[in-house]
Amino acid sequence: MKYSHAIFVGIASITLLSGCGDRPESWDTPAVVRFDKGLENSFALIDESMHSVHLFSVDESLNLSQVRKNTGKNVVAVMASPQADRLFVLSKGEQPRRKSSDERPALWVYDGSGSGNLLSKYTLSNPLDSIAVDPEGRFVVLYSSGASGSFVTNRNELLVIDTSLPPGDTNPLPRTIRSFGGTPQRLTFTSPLNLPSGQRRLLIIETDQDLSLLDLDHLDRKEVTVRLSNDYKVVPAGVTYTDGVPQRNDDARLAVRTTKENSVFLLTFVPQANASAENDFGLTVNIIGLTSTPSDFAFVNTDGGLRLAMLEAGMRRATLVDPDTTTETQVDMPASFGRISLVTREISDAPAGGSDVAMLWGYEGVAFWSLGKSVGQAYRSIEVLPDIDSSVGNVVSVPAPNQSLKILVPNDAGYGGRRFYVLNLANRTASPLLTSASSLSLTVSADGQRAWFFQRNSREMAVVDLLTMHPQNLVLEQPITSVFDIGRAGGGRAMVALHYQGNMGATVVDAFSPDEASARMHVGLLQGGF
Amino acid sequence: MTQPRWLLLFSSMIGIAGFVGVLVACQASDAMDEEGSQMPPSYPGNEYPSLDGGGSGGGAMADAALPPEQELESEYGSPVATERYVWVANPVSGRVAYVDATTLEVRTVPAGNSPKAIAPVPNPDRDTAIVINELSGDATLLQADDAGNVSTTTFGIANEANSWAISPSGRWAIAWANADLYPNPNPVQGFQDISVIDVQTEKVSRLSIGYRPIAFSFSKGEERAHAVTQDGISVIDLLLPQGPSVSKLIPTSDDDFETSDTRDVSITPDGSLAFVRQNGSQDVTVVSLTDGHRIRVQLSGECTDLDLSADGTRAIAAIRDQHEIAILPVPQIATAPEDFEVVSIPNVTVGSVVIAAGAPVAFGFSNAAVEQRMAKIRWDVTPIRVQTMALHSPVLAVFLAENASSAIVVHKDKNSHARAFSALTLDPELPAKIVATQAEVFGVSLTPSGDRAVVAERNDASKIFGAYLVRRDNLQIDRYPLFSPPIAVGTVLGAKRAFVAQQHPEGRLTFIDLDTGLSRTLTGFELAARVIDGSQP
Amino acid sequence: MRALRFVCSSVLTLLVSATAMAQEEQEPTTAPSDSATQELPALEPAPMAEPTTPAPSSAASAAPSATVNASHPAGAIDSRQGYAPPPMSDAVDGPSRDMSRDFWQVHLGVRVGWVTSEGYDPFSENDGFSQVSMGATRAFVLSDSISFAPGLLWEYGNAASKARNAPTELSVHRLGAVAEGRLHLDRDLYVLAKLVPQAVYTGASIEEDSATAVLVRNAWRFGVDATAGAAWNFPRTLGVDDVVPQFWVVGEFGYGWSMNQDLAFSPDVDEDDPRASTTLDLGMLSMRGMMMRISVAMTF
Repeated sequence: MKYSHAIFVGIASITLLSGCGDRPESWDTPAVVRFDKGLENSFALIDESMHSVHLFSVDESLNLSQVRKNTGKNVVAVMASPQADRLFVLSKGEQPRRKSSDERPALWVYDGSGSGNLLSKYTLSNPLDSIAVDPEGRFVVLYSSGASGSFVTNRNELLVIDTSLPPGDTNPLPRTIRSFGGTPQRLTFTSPLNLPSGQRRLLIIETDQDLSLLDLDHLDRKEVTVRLSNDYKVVPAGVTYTDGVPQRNDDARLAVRTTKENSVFLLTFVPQANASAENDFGLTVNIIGLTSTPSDFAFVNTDGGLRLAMLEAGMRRATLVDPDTTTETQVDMPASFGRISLVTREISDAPAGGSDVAMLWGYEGVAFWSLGKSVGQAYRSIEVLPDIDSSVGNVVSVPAPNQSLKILVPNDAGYGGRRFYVLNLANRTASPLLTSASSLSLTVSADGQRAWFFQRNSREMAVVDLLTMHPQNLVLEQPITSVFDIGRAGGGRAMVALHYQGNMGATVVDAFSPDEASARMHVGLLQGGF
Repeated sequence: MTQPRWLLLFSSMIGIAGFVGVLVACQASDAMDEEGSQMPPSYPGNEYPSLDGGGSGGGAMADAALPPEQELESEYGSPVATERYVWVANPVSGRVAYVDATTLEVRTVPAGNSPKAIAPVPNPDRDTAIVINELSGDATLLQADDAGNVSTTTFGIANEANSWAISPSGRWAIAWANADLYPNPNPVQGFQDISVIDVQTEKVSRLSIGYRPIAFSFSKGEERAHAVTQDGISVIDLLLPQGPSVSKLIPTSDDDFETSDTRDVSITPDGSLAFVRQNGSQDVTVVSLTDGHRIRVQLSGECTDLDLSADGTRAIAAIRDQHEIAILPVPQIATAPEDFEVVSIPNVTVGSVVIAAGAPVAFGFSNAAVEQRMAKIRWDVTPIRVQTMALHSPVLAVFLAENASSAIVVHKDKNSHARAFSALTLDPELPAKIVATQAEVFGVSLTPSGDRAVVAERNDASKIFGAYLVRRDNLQIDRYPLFSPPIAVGTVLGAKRAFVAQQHPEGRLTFIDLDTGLSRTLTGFELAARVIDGSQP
Repeated sequence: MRALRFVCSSVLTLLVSATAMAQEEQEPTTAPSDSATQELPALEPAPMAEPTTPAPSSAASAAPSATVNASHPAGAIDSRQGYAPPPMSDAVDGPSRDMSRDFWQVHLGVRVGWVTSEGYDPFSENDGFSQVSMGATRAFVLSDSISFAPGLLWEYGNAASKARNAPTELSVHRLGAVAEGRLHLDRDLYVLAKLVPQAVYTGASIEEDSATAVLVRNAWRFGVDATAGAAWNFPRTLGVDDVVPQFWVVGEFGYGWSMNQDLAFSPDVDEDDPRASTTLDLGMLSMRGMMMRISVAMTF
């Protein structure tokens, strides 16, 4: 009997011992990717299941080299710096925290130039889920959108982070703006404004019923809040600002349009009259009346001086308002345009004297509005581009050296044959390009040479040379989710098309000579490497 | 109805001359009530009449059947202007905004609950205004110092007060209830309570006067105030040791049961006499406010209008059917009722009279008839000079500069709508310039010197709103489009600006520089109060 | 684990059938000489046969077994000389070899290895890798108690799992030459030392959704197993008649080594397919580590 026992023990031992050892749990964790970002010389994927950031760069042979760095748990937002040299990852950490070792919310800053190094980590006291990045790349403001799911959320609390400084007691700096019931909806960082008290940069916080201004150069000071109405029914819909005449420091202004009001609020920065106030600038408020709700506006320079140009949706006219006197001049338009963009710097024939040229666009095509002054008129010319006969939903700028080009994307409507245009501001011509895509996404290269067009979840894409307008179509192996045009190690650039299948794939193509035959497909980007 | 002359004099000091309220004949009151009820409850709160012309539009053959003349030149209380500021009350926020007409800086000060009727208070030292707070039943006195800071004093007043009568010196402010500003008042509402505020001592006396007062005046030395009511004229002694008190009621008619709502009462600036005219009557009753003695002056026909000169030396009566005017010497007429001069104006139908506030000049015209002519009357010469002036459209209303150097004549079209106006330069006399407006003329204001005038137009249906700046010297007229319905016009002489107050939830004023013609619109008087520096509590 | 189950069921089947087969009577054998001479079953004694030249046998049996020493019955253990093989049988139709050592041996068993290589992680949730093991050797008796058994060995195993939700599979074939040395401690027990140089074939695949074809990586590598163990003829020990074939349980423990293999996967497509250049590198796979082998051997 003892022999049978021995056999049994032997077989059991074999069975048992064969189960010894295990592998990292990573292998059992599918990749979860919600965020991807193109950077200057790399692109980033956030693997939320592994709490890791993967930064990929492209070498001369179109191979991908990967750097994997830890990141926070429960990533809620990812943004790139305006120069695409840094990656900001906002995480909530472990909520709720049961142990002191549980991870806290944090903002992680990674180097986007290729090394993927963690540059800074700013630990937060509370989880937030929204990021606003300063166009100049210095400040990052974190705030709550209200969807964080926390038991109690203060939506008026902002965390201002100066990314040029290391983490410290006052960096991040929590600021709770005074609320009259509103919550932040939109943040705008201004460029330096010449205020009566000196040059300042301001953070404009639009809530759903009022406006607050924070002095970014004096974050220790309280904000200035402008209540737009007594009944809190006026909802801001956008702001524009001007520094005014360079020689003056008392004509910096801010204009606010709203969602429903037939008026625009005009705020003028004046010297502070109240000696006990912390802020050394004051505000006067005026209201400019219109006949309907403006759809877009911008401060423009005319030969007659600074004006606020406003467009009203569905109206074949524009209104120029003198911000000093609020005198209004109505300008008849040949069509209804809902949007305005200043293109003075991008064109070669800007009027002498400093007046602006604006591009008007919207449902009825595109026009150029030269804001110089002719006798008896407050404008010089309005030139409609006859080549563009479809509604324009979006205008995409092209970086230098082709900054005179604009890509006009039509509204998402209709199927089978839609036009988009590459508009040349220099000679006022528009090159139509036809696409069969029902919805179009595009990425413009940072060197301003190319534009990549694709339709999400489709395998087809195209690249258009912005100099020759030559399109080249490509059909990839896998459906495309995102496209980046990034720098390559050793020079050159590459197009990376991401495929959200499995553990992520990517197709890499030489951006200068795109060819499916020479494309390199990379699979399982997030596979292995544990 | 004729406003007391002292009010016109007061407005000439600060540049508000000639706010216009127009009533359509036969439908004027209904129209006003209707439009008043449509007035938005917010800024600035006061009702306004329209300037639509009235009249049945009958021709000269139908003179005998013409309706009564309409007195369309009335005065508004809100906004008002003092030497430096324009004051605007916001009943919704309970604040009063005051705009420095020179710098256009807007500031606000809290008043009471639902401030509405506001009036300037003459004060040589400080810009002062006083406002009735309807819902809190009190009044707030606002006084601005040189730095623009305003101090307030609150007085409890009688209920239902909605109008002000301010003495020329600014010492006395009487809050009273004008029944015409109430929509469909019950006949049992007498509106007989008034509050007399002594601004100097800051004391308030509540008194009761006759049924439904119409107007107030003050005696020359401000010892007494007179309230013209439907019962007669209530005499208020102001300087009694125990405070103001109603001393007597002086009937204005021999017949106590005579209908009083068609009675027109004018009181001389010194407060000694009252002239009572009744529609359909050819008699003018002169009442002594000292002893109540009444004397009747019989004219050759129905007296359709009677106005007193600013200096109180003449009363000019229009006898429309006879194409005559009667010039009654004051105070002599009270003792010699038959001793007056009658001037015949055969080629002009004169049913209404407007007298310049600072010159012995009057204009005679008719807005009941379709009359394109006017008569210019000078009584300081012998014989009295009457000059006929031909215009290009029937006359609806006439606004005369204080010194009679210019005038604005509002015309009516065939539908009795005020769709044009003429600008007249009277010194030197130049051809009238007629301007067709884009909407109904709503308000007129002339500077005391007559060199500038502002005419506002308004059409709510077509949303056409505008203001015209008239320059007397070259009769150049510029139009300024407005984005909101105008509710009042005026001038602030100290800042050499005219203003047009407009209907806007946040309050809107357009200032027009009288010299350069540049306009500037301020909207949102209380927005500055809503700019909150976080460091301030 | 599947291989182990296969092996266990195979072993059970073989055991049952072998046990049944073991009931066939073969030549009588002489009990080992000890103080208690065992009585053989009553049979007619066979006539004494002329001494004959023993049949040629393998070199391993070059022992002085041709001389029958009557004083030492077959299979007797001489305490002075160790295990003495039994005399050659005179039966015309019986084997003439010492079936306790001089035999062919085939085995079926399971090889279990512990692969700690990180390259193995995609294919298994633990470090165990089991293979069915089959082989055959032929023993050559070198001395009374030492024999050498060369042979051949084939082992096959398969592991499947998921790597981040991508199904993976790894199959390993081992084809080896067996060099086994045995020290016979008893008729039914010997210890062994085995060296098996082998050719290792690994076939790995991963069905990564980001690729349009299954990714595979196949390679031949060299390996060697070095084990030591023991074999036990458990039926005979339990009293089963001395029959042919015999069944042994063999257990080994040792170390298996093989060369590193890269896991640079590429699509399973033709070489001229442009997708062929796609690679997915999951590191290096080293199928080496401690191992054990349990098998049932049948000798004859």
